[in-house]
Amino acid sequence: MHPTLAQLPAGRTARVTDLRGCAESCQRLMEMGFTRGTLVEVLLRGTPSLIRLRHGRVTLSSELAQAVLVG
Amino acid sequence: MQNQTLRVAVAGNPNAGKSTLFNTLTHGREKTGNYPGITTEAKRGDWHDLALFPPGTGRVELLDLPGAYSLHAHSPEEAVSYRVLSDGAPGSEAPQALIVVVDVMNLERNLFYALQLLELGRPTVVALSMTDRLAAQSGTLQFQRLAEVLGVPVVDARRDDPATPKRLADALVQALAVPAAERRWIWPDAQVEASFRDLADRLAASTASERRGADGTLGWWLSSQVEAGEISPATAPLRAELDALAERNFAGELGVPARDQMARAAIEARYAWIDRKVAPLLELPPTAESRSDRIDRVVTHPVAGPLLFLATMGLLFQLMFVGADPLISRIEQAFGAVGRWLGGALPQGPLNDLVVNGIVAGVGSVVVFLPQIAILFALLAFLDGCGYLARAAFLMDRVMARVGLHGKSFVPLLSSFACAIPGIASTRTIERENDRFITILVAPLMTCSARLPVYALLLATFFSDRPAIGGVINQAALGLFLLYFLGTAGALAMAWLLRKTLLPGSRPPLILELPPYRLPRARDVWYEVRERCIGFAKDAGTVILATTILLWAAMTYPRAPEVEARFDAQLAALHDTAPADDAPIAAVAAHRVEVLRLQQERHHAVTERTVAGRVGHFILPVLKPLGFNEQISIGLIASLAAREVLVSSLGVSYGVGDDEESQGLRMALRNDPRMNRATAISILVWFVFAFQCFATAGAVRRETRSWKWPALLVGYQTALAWVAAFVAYRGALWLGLGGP
Repeated sequence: MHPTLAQLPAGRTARVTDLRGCAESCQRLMEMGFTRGTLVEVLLRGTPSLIRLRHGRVTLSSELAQAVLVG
Repeated sequence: MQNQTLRVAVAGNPNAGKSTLFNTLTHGREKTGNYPGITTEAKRGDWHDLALFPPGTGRVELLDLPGAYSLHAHSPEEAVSYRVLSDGAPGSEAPQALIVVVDVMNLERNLFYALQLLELGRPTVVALSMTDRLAAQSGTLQFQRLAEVLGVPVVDARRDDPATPKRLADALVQALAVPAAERRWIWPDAQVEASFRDLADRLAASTASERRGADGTLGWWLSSQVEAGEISPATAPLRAELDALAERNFAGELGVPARDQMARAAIEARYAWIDRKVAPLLELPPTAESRSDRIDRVVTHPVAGPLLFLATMGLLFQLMFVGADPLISRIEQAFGAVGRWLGGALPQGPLNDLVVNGIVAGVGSVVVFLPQIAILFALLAFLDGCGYLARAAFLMDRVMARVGLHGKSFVPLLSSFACAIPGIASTRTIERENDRFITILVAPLMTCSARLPVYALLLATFFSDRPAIGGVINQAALGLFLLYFLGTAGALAMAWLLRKTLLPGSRPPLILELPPYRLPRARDVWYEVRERCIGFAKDAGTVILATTILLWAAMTYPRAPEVEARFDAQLAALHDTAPADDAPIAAVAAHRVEVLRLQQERHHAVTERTVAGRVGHFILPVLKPLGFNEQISIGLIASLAAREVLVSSLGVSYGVGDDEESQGLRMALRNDPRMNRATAISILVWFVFAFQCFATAGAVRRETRSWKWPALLVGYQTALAWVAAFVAYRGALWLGLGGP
């Protein structure tokens, strides 16, 4: 089982492997750039967490961070 | 080809620099002063420099669409973009061409939306913003190659370059010259093309709309419909086919419905296309840490962040109150002077009364809001332009989550400290309806600037001469803080309650982009402030003015000429017996008191017979437990026009000066045996919670498209105000504050 984005410690970089359990929000996450294979970096862990991806910074509430599987 | 109008939509992600470009092209001249968000319209303006276009171009109308991440609308604001692009703004046709603003520092994510827009198949220009920043970080982008890959002109649209409008105009002309047949939309990959092409052909055959078939918009329409999960009734029979197609191509993954899988495939295909074709064109040296990262380390720090946030909010309020105060008194003086002048110049009678007490007072009570609204929105526009508001939402998310809201509800609630109406309008960025409605319904509890005159009068009258607590904090100042706190706490508590009862839902998921820090241009801030002020004056202003005039009538009619005549005769008699100027001071004072008493009695007797007096009398039994007397009861009705009217209405009731600085009114209130600190507290608490503004109800009606929610707002605010004032009054009496 892959870990989720919520489990990554701050400063760690990983690739998105899948999204699960977020229906409507999953689509928005993907539109914002969280597609499979995208490199993400956890800048700040917590609620909400701060993620760097594709040259931008996005903040996610913990439920959504948990929906992003990384590997 | 004479005087042809060209309609061009300006679209892009939030924070891409869209409004800045719009302002540059239109010189900030919008045609409609519509409140952003309240009307479902995009901002409209005319391209300023028509000489850039071929002769015969009569007008170039620009439509500034709200920022969006996708054509699949997740929030009402994004839905506006979707609708305007497909059907045009109300009263106008669909735009013929598009300018898509793409932030070059955020190229891949901005291009996702740009690709969806390109699928529309309309003449399109990609305007790259923030190219100055790219150069500053020694990055490069192959413009020419990008234009080739995208198949449309790509233009450097940096903010402060005077040549930007010309480059854009040339590119637009170039894009418009391409015949429709040669425009193509990009099928991001073969699988998506294979999935959609077959269905696209059938749709083209079965739908009557020539718009969808002819100019290549079918691909966009189809994919966006699939992504939005809806098919219009006209094509409902195709839904089954679409589902079958989805099942065939995408079934069998992790229990996600095939239709969702298909939508996701379209998203991933676009990003894959961007990664493959566009990403190699951008050269951005990996800097160890950008300036924004360094600032963010402080701003989002678990300890320093909230402290900085509190300091920013403190400064914001300080500037709002201190800055607006002199302007507000200047405005009040000016309207007072105009009223007195008109009162003297016009012949006595109902018309005089209507003009002075209805119209001038009504306009004055609208204008008096403007200083605070202008200052608050200048500061908000500045903080937003900097990128700080997104961080504030990030920081407040934890607090908001406790009551079931998310960070995006923070800005609307903050705006409501000036006025709930723009606050309610700014809820449009919130995605889920229940979350948005909760924010709309609690925003009026935030202490808006209209309540301040009431607070100021009562606090100054009953608390300012009390000893300071601990020798430091003035009781009146502490009271003001407590009232603000009470309103905010009430709003959060109501949000929690609504979440638990009428508008249930899970904790809303927060996805929010934190844009890079950037100093906003002064003129963009100015345009925003101007737009807000004009919007407020038009929107809230008309309602406030109308209610003021209506309530003036209710406070004046029906008249009782015989009562007036009786008192006037008594007053005239009293005037004749006035002591001489050199009479003993005691005699002069006694006479003056007698005149005042008679004037007050005359006012009571006249008001009692008016509509407002009767209603005030009728509801008095309900308000009695709160310690309210008849003057206050009538004043509460008068204050339905606008809260600050309570002050002038009390002033008139007591037959003294009518502004909160008036020593006479303070004396009269203090000398009224029915008034004391307990009743003052009761009135204050009532004003914190009570529904008192028809303009707000109107805004709620527009935003929720139903009378149900404004009715609920009026009901719950009144109930809450009554209970809270009752508890406060009884508590104050128990504490011994009922004495003089």
